[in-house]
Amino acid sequence: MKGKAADALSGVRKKASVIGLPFIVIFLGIYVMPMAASLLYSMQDNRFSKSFVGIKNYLNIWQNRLFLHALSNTFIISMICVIASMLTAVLICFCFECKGIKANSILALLVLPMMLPSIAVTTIWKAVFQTSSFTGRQEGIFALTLLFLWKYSGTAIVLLYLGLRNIPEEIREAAQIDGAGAVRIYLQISIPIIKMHISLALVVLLMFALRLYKESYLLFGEYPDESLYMIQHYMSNHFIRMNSQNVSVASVSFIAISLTLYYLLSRAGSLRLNRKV
Amino acid sequence: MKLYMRLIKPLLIICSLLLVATSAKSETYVKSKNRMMYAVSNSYIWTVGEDGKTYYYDSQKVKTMAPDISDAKRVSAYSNSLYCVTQQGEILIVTAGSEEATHYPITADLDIRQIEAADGILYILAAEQGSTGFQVYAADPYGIRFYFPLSIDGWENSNISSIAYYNGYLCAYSSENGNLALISFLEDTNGKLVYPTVTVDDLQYVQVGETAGDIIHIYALNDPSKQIQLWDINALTGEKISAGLPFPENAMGLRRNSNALFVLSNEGKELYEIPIHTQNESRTLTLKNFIGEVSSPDPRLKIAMELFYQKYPDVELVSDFITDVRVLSAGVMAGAPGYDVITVQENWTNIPSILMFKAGALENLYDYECVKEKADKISDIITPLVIDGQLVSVPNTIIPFTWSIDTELEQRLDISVPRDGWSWDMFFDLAAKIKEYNETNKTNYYLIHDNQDVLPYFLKMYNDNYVDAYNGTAAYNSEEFVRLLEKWVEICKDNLVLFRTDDGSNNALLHVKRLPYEETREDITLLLPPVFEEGNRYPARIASICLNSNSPMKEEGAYFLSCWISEEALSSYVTISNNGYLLNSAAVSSNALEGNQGVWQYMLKHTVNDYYIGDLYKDQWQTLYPQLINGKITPLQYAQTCQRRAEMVLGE
Repeated sequence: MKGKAADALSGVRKKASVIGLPFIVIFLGIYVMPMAASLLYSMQDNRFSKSFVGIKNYLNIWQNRLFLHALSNTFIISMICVIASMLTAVLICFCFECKGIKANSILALLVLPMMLPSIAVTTIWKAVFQTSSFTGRQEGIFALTLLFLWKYSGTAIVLLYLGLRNIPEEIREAAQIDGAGAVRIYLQISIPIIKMHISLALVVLLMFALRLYKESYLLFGEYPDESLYMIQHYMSNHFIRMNSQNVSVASVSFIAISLTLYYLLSRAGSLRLNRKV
Repeated sequence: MKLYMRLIKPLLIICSLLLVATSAKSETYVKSKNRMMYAVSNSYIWTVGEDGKTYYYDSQKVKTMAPDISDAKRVSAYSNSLYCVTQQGEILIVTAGSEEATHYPITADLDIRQIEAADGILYILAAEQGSTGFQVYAADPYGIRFYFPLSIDGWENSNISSIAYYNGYLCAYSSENGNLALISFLEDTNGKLVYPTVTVDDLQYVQVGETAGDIIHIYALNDPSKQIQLWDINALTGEKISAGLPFPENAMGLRRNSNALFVLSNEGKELYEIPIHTQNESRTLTLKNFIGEVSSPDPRLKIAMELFYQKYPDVELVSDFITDVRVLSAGVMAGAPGYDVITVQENWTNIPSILMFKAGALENLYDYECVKEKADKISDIITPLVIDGQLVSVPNTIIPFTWSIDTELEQRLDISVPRDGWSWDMFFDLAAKIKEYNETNKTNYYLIHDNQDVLPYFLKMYNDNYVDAYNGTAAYNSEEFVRLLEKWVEICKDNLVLFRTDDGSNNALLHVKRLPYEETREDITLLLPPVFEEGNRYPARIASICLNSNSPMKEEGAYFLSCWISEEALSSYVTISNNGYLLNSAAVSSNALEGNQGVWQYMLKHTVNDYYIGDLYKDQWQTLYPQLINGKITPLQYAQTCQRRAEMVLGE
């Protein structure tokens, strides 16, 4: 029986791999091959001579002040937006908990801003904040962060709320009996329980934050204040000028940094998990 | 494995069907639900539908809508215009890019069967009312007010059934007697038979063909009563052989451009393109957006072509014009084929030539000895096109932004404007005198009238002298710029500057104007504009001709450029009343005013290219300059903002 089960499982796996073959091919075609092409372009002199120059382009571009500035701005702005959204989500969920609000009916409303086209939202923002490519640092970051909060924190609220809803009520009641207040229950009991939801919310928010270039471009143009100049601005401007080498180097660098950070965070997370266990 | 094959087999079938489907349609140029008429020039393909919808297609097959033409009866195209005879008895001329057609009522009483457009003339196949015999007439295209039958020695202009015009040649066929004639207008504008007429039977449509072994051939489609065949006819002997080119069933009409023949099929609903392949596989050098048409060259281009063909007789020069400059820039930067020699008009380009050169898309022309030798002879004129010892391009035209002075007003105001060079500080000193005069005499004289561009000359000159796009530097934060900018704002507030407007009067002492050399003969007085401490070159609009790094014909392209700037070609340009002028000592016209000529020559030898770097300058003229003049920002803030922006744009 065991042998038959193993054979059956092996058969299923083979069928699955065959069925999955087209999707693997598509994934390779859409994701891996363009990345490989990008890596190749990043090591060529230019698109005309196409001579291989190794890491020369990387050395040049990594010495460019604006490129480094753009990289740091991207992460700083992303962190500001993500942290602000996360805190907002935590706060609003706390209000729901305190008031005992069953927020099912308003979940859709919370996510609605995300559905609105960016062009419509930024048109309103431009009118309200009078943004342009000459908008200063503080006003620019404030306008951008507020837009991000309004548009994307609903997603984090929904994720956290769904996690909080699944916490058995007995746990809170037991804490109350022991004399814990609402804040303490929320911070020391509820939040730790919904760690996975928080992690997911952070990942989703980070994903949205890295796509914030679209709104930034619509608000501030191709060349905003230096503090708002992100790596996507750098890539986009060079793309318009068809400097594919610069675009390739920037994208490969950005992917490499993102993957490295993700790996380090994952390692840190799993090490922490192992220690607790 | 079985499952795998079950999945793969249908996929393969689907892919094959797609391949067959796409390959069957690969030679169709345009398909329409309705019957259409069509016309072909070297620049565009035009289609006019039964419903009046008119479109034109450029060399990249980009489709653009043109003004509707209802009741089209006959159409023909030349250069970038479509000529149409309507049922209403009008000639409509539609130019690519224009929003309306121009109408000319036809005054002649002719039954028009066919029209062929040429440079400033229409060849029409027509019969006078009451007559049955069709003849070829030469007529003016603006209503056929004047027309006369062609009279060529050795050719009988009667009972003609089909004509075609291409590149200075007209072929005419008579189905009644089979006479086929090839007429040239290249050397004699009245026309001359190239060879004695030959007799060929049963043809319906004819078209000027290719040259093989020094003999010009004629393409033809035969009479539809027999099986349609595309023929290649030796115009000297009349020998007729199959052209060996693919063509659709029921083909009708036969027009051409430099690369292909075009016929209609499927009852006039499908336009079919037949690429032309010559037996000796001649190579082509494409001149992209050249200011001049290879098929009807001006004297300078004609001389350049003659010099070129002496060395490269097997290379065909072809003009091609792309109206969308984004397509042109993208084609150059992407290394697309067919972009050999490119003309970049710096005020009308998506990417300035200097940035294309920086990206490696354009060749350093000093690497080609033939160009270097010619360029060294006009080195002072081409200085603006030399960057760090590298020659980016050669000029097609150079038009400086000149200054002229109203000498009567100068006397009336009792001031003396320096004629042999002055500074911007001296310019602003004049303002105080005019202001005082206006206040005393209750007049409203302006110091300067500048209507030429989006930024005033003062800022344009500063940008052009102090922004180095190639090396990525700018110098807006200098004390000189801020100080002079404050003075500029002051004179604007005092209403001494007429910028981008015209009050209809002639109340300005100084006028900024882009002047081609020919206009310096007018009764005006030119003077040198003022200069900055370090920036003393005069902005000029330059149309640059560059060599694409990705071209497979770089040696040939470089040689053409050397012919273009040869002494013979430059000298020929003297008599042309056209934009731009490149002087050498042999080409100076004696008709020019000595003073103006001297000023113009001096400016020409001290120009700086007026690159329009959109990312850098767009915000200057759209946002910053209006804010500066309205007092919302100070000159210091203006300078600092420009500097920050320049550091970003140029430092990326």
